[in-house]
Amino acid sequence: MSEARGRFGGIREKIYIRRHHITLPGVKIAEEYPGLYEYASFELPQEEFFLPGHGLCASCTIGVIARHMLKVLGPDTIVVNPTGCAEVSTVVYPRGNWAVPWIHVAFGNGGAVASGIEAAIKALKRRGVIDSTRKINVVVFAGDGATADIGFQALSGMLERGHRVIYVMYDNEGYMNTGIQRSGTTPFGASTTTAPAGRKVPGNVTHKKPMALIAAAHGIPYVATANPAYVHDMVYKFKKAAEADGPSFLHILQSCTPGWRFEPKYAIRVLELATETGYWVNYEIDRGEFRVTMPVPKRKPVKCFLQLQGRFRHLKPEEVETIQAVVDRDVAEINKAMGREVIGPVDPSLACITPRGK
Amino acid sequence: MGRIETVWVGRGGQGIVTATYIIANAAIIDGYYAIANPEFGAERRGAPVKAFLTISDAPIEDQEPIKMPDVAIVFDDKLIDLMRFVLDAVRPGGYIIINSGKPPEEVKKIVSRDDVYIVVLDAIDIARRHVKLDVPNGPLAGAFSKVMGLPKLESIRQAFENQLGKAVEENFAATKEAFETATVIPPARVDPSARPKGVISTTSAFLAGPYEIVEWTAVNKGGVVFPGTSLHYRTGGWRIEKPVIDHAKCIMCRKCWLYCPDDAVIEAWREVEGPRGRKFRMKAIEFDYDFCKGCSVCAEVCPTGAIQMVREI
Repeated sequence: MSEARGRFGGIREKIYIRRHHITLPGVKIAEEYPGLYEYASFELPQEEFFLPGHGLCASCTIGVIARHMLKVLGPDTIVVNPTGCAEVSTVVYPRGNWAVPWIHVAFGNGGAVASGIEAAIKALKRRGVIDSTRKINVVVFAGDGATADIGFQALSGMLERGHRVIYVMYDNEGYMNTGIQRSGTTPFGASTTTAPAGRKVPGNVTHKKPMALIAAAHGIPYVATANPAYVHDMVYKFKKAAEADGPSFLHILQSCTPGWRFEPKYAIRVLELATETGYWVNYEIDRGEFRVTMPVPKRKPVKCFLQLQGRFRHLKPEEVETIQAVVDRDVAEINKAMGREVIGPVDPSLACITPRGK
Repeated sequence: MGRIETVWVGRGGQGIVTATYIIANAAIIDGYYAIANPEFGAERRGAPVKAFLTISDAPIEDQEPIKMPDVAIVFDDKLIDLMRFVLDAVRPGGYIIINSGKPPEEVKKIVSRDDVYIVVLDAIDIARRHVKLDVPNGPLAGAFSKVMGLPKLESIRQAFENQLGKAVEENFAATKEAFETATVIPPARVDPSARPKGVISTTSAFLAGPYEIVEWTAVNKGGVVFPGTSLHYRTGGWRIEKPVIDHAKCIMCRKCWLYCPDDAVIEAWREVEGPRGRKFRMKAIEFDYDFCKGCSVCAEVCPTGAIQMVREI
């Protein structure tokens, strides 16, 4: 953890910007990878297991994540859903839209309940109640609050005991369900209701908790970060997580219209910009091999990502520079870990919004 | 003037709660007593929201939901069918204020009541021109002020300053335009002794679909819900704009299908006519308007610009 003091002229508090440590014990760098994720063709089933008729906000990308997750994992899936946006808006008493077995659990115990379900399936298979060759996926579909903050000890216990559970964390960078409070994954400079931007303090003063690396430090078989704007990449990661022999953890960025305060139509665009600016790096740690799955030859300045969102509107140019410095440092660390330049340098000549055909 | 009871019906994100606070604030500046309390479920932006506002010249001591309002304000004309019970509960001689892009006569036909004043204005259009947002609360506050004679426009402006603190001029310009342009259709007959057809029930106000209200003993054991029950909940009413596809420009990349959060983009067989009059069937992208929430993500990700958003209300 690095410490910067008085970065914003006059503020006395310490501003902690966490440092990512990719060089985890036992993690080595994968061999040259021929861009499989980018060019591989795949077939997604037509069947939907995340049915329409849910109450998520218009353009909420939780729908995109959940649809593709269930398309890959198939009908033999049990979804454990701790409290969060996904839970309160998809299942309201007389109706539910999950076409797979689904259970709602309390905020803090998603990992524990999933461990129990997995152990029960194992026991029933041993007794011959369930066909022992049948593959049943247990998924925890939790938000950032239920993973990084409140449900952290249950998650850590589940990873450490080695249950074969897929933990999917959709990260909308705050407690958006209860009205945009700050969480452990809220980025530096974002204005939330519990970390509001004022004249002196520019919103939240801590940076994102590196949940994927924390999970990887448990030594589990598969950890990845994904972005729904790059569906092919995300789908392959779900597939790999389902094939892993042990716990797997997926950290997925998700855009939130009311919380990030952008126009609903930019839901995918803002996620694309997160990867294009280097703010969000799609990588995986597959059996101890680190690999960036979405190389970016030339980065856009992080300003492109920030200016679409109302939660960063208050930032002064020097504060944007600070965020750019944080992103640069993280990218440099990833490049150093990979041993070559996977995420390129900032190219200010690139247009922020790449025009699409009109 | 006594006591005015109003019910405001709209969708989350349209500024309905803010609108009631602004009117209450303005009425208090004018020297009246006012109380505003919203009521909504666990849902998100776009779901139906109800808010109650009472203005009186004597102190208000009760905070109960309003059963028979004097005024009903509807923020979205697609809510009329869903919220019919609110319109039916308006007292004869009362007012129904509706935001709609349709001609006033047509709106009157949809409302199908002839013993109340019907006020029609295109608040979305006014808001888009002045505030550059789809929030019709400012214009509807202006229409309210016009037909009720209170609060004064100057107090509404003061309330904008207190409540919003920014974009006061833009919002006030929208309010003023609505004050000047709203169309009022007077009732054909008023029988003040008549009672409205129904009252607003306090339970299950937002249940839409073929559900029946049962006793607690008949509720599913363990609160179990069954897959597919959500299909009764048509979220199509949430949208302001609907996507329309130009099949000539579509290259079937299915990006819209990939990124649709509501599973409202579907592949359907379409019958087309070839150059020599031969008919054949081909696959094409269509939209499921029962569930499309009108978020415009499909139009934004479309690489050829084949999908356009067309205004619906």
